Formats: sequence, C-alpha cells, structure tokens
Amino acid sequence: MMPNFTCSWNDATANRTTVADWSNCNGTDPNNGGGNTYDATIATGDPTLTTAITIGSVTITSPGAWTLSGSSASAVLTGTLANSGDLELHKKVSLRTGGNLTNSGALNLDTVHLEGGSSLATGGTLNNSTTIDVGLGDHSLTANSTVSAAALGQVGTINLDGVIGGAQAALKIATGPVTITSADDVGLHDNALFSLASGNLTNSGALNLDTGHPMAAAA
Amino acid sequence: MVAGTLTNNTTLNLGPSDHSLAANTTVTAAGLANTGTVNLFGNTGSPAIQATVTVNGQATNSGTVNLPTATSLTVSGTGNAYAQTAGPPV
Repeated sequence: MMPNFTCSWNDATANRTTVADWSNCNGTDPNNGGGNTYDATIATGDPTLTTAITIGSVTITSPGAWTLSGSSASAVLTGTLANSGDLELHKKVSLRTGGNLTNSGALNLDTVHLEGGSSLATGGTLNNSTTIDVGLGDHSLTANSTVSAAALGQVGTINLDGVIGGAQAALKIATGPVTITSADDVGLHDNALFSLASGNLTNSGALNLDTGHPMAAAA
Repeated sequence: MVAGTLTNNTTLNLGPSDHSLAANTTVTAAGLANTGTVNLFGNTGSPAIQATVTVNGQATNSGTVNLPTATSLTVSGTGNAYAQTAGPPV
C-alpha cells in the first residue's frame, strides 16, 4: 500500500509548487508519484495551479481558494473534491475527479472577459448547493466551456453563458434522474446547452432558456 | 436535450418575454408531462427565429402551454399523441 499524505496549504496566494507552503506533505508539493499519494486541504490562501498534476482528494474551505489557470493547468483527482471556498478555472484548464464533487462555495469556469475552453469533469455525482457559473454574461466566451458529471444530485444555481454563433457553455449529465427543486435555478443564455444523456428531468423550480440555444437545451 | 421525460411542475421559459429572441432556442425530450406553465417566446419581428419544444414521444398537458408568434410545440413519432386535460387550447 502506497503511503498517503494529507497536505495543508499554509500560505497566501502562490504557485502550488512552493514546497515550503505545504504542511505535512512529505517535504514536497502534492502530486502523486514516487510511490506516494497525496490529498490536499486548502483552508487559506490559493495554491495556484499552472501545470499538470495527479492527486487524491482535495478539500477547499473558506477563505481558501484554488485557482487553475492557463492551458497547461490540468488536475486529475483520483478521489473527491469538496469545495466550500472558491474554485476558479480559467483559460483552457482541465479538472477531472474520479469521485463526487460537492460544491457549497463559489465555482467559476471562464468567468473573466475573453476566457474559454475550460472543462470540469466529475466522475461521480455533482452536488451543488450554491452557484456554478460557466462563461460570462458579456458574450465573450472564446471557446467551449463544459461542466460534466456522471450524475447531478442537488442542482443549486447554475448559470451557462455562451456566445450566439460562437462558443458554447454546457452542462452535460450522463445519467438521470435530475430534479430541479424550488430551491434551484438553472439559466441558459446565448448558446448554452444542458443535456441529460439518459433518464428523466423534473422541473419544480426555475428553468429558463433566454436566448440562442441552437441545440436542445435541457431542457 | 433530455433523453427521458421532461416533467414540468412550475414554469419553463424559452426566450425572453419581450419577444426579442436572438437565435433559435429548442428543448427536445423523449416525453413531456406538463402540470405547470410552459412559456415560449420567439422573435415576433423576425419569425424565423423560433422557440420550440420537440417531443419525440407522448406529451401530456394539464397545465398551460403558451405558444405565441414564432414558437412551436411538436409531438412526433409513430403513435405518439398530445393529450391536453386542462388549460387554454394550444
């Protein structure tokens, strides 16, 4: 059995490769290898990711944040991701989990002017009790940005903002059922897609398709 | 795109209520069960820009479906039918 370390970020905002900014981390930064596996806890600051890593599970708690930025930023989590802080994905980054993703904080994909191309893939169930934003409402998404999951439990508020005739903001769920409750709000704007590949969708909350969805929106 | 049945118990809005839809907007599902309100708002100034619901199976409506200019509800597929049990005529 490979040794596993649970690393804690102890600095403000800095590149996550700064070894001294991690506690209980076997004298390195968390990135599976050398016969070791790593989980990461971020309760303060922001260990910005600009490279490719593979780790176990990640827990982000407020005021902690985790920013993935740039096309070289790629994170593969073999476990789960729990975010009650701030998870930021910007500019063609990739984040994939093997297990569930629970979001009760801020989760933003390409929400800055002229960003796009990021993806967030959840191998398990996505549960969202707060807000997930994909794209920006100023119609500036530069490439398709996608959130996908094997299943969608709690929906929360999800805003998808694409560009008519251009990049698409998408939420793709593999397996239903999906229930939008009275506490939930799903908005698709300007070339946005919500697809449910199998199973039923029940809307008992708010489901609004405002403009420009050339593909069937999730209804 | 919903592979299964879309059940709407509250309000499903397609397009802005000022009828200024900027591009075709579509919901597609294998079935529709509506007990709430479905509002479709196309572009009345450019009727080619449509808000549409396509149901490739059974559709039942005991609520309200509003279909003004530049909108459509299509129920397709062999033997599939649209059944309305309440609300204003579609």
